[in-house]
Amino acid sequence: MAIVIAEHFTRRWQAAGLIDGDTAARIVAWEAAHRRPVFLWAVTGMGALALSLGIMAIVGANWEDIPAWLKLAVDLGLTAACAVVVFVCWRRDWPWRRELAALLLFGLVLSGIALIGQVYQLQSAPWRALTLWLAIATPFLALTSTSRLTGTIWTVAAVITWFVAEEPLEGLFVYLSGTAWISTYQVALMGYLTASAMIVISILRGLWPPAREQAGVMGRLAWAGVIAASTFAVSIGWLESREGPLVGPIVLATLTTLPAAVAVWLGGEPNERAPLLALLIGSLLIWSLGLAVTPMHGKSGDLVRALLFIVYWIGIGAAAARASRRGLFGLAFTMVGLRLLILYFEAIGGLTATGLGLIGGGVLCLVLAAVGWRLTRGVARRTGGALT
Amino acid sequence: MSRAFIIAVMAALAFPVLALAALVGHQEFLLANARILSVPLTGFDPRDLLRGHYIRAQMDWDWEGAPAVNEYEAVDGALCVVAETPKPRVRFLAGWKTGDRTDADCRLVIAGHARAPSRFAPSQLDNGDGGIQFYVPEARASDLETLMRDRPGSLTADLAVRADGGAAIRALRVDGRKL
Repeated sequence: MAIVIAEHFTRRWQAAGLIDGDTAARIVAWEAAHRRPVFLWAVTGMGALALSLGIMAIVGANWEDIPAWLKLAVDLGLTAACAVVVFVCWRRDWPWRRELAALLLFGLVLSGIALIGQVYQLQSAPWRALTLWLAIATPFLALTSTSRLTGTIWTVAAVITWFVAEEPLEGLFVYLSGTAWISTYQVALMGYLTASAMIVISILRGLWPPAREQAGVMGRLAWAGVIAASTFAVSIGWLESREGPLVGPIVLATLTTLPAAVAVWLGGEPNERAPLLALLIGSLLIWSLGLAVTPMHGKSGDLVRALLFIVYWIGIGAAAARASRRGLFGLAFTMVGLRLLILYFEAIGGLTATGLGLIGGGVLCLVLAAVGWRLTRGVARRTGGALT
Repeated sequence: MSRAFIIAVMAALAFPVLALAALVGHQEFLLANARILSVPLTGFDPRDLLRGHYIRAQMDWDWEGAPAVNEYEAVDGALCVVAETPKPRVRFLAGWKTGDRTDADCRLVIAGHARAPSRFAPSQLDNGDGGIQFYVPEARASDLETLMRDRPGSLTADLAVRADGGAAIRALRVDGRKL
């Protein structure tokens, strides 16, 4: 398959005058010499899948007949065997086998906790099981796994655990912020806090050279979290408003932004410090304003929130254009366009209010697409040098 | 690579196995030091969303002194079990905590939450609304729900009650036979 794709593209590039005939021939010859048996892999994969599904079906059908002690013994045995495999792969420096084994062990720990809960009929809130899972698995993940894939799954697991614990954390937030929370607003705060904490964690993780790539992806997820939390904070006005002082939550968010800002300043790349700090401070400002305007009802509230949303995403778009990040610029433009469209439909009172309303919406979409096309083409591409 | 780092990795990898084994050991220890109390189960609404894997039920107590609890309220306390058979005869002790004194006629004390009307679930088993989830064989869930409805008292749970008032489910029984 790879050779066919290589031939297609080399012919295309040769026809466009980008590469000469010799280079095209060398590329095709190299691909032919390094071809991978994709179809054999596919057949092997299907065989392994069928085998594992068959084993699972047999175990599942006889699950109730298997004594509890045997289930627990097999689970502990598998967990121990997987831990040994991780260790062997780590010692012999087999990165991908080590990463896959570490992920499998991560999953086995969770299934072990679930099995113990099932065998002993334990009743517990899901966040307790998830917290235990992370507490048990974090040490070996931190020491043995350095890939981006594992870092992503680890981060997602931690964030899910944090949000699943929303209810038991409510008391803590009330105590810290001095404000009675409604779930939606607590989610906005929890999102912002976790993203700020993840920035610090990713920068600290990046201090260990083998985990630098993993820390990079964790950092990107954290920044995406900051943007998502701020966007969410200026989008929740239509839900039930909470009356009362908002100083507490804003102070709390500011206090968690400080360590993130210090970490960015001390540990971030020198050329990225200023834009990232600007993004962090801008996000805190928008998040705080979003929370402050939630009690505003009606059209004026919708308008203020929409303006905050648009200003925020224009800021992100401008920063992306300066940093020559076309993808992020395109996303920012899309977000602004979507918000304008929503604002338009909010203003006319519904999607199908009138035929003219729909025509106006369609024209707005086309105009936005045309403007977006022109603006995106105007953003310079990042020059990363030759591909290596 | 330093020796200390290798030892740290080995310890980090051994930790999940030891932690899971410790969880199993802890549960076995709790059960080994508990007294068994057989409690009839009755139906509970709403039924479990994962119907087929779990059934939801509540414990059917013989109340000597029912809890005074308002609608939608949960009161912490304990059950004083004054007689174990045929159905546990109980009295609610509002505000009871581990270490508090109990009446002389209490043969067992089970810590938990009381709700209206006359519903009590042990702390570790309470599913948040006074209901309790029981993991059951998938093929039998429907029959067990019918059994609870049609023949009250035939489905019972063996509660392992510890001296500190904690309780865990030891077994489910149908007409005295272990499920």
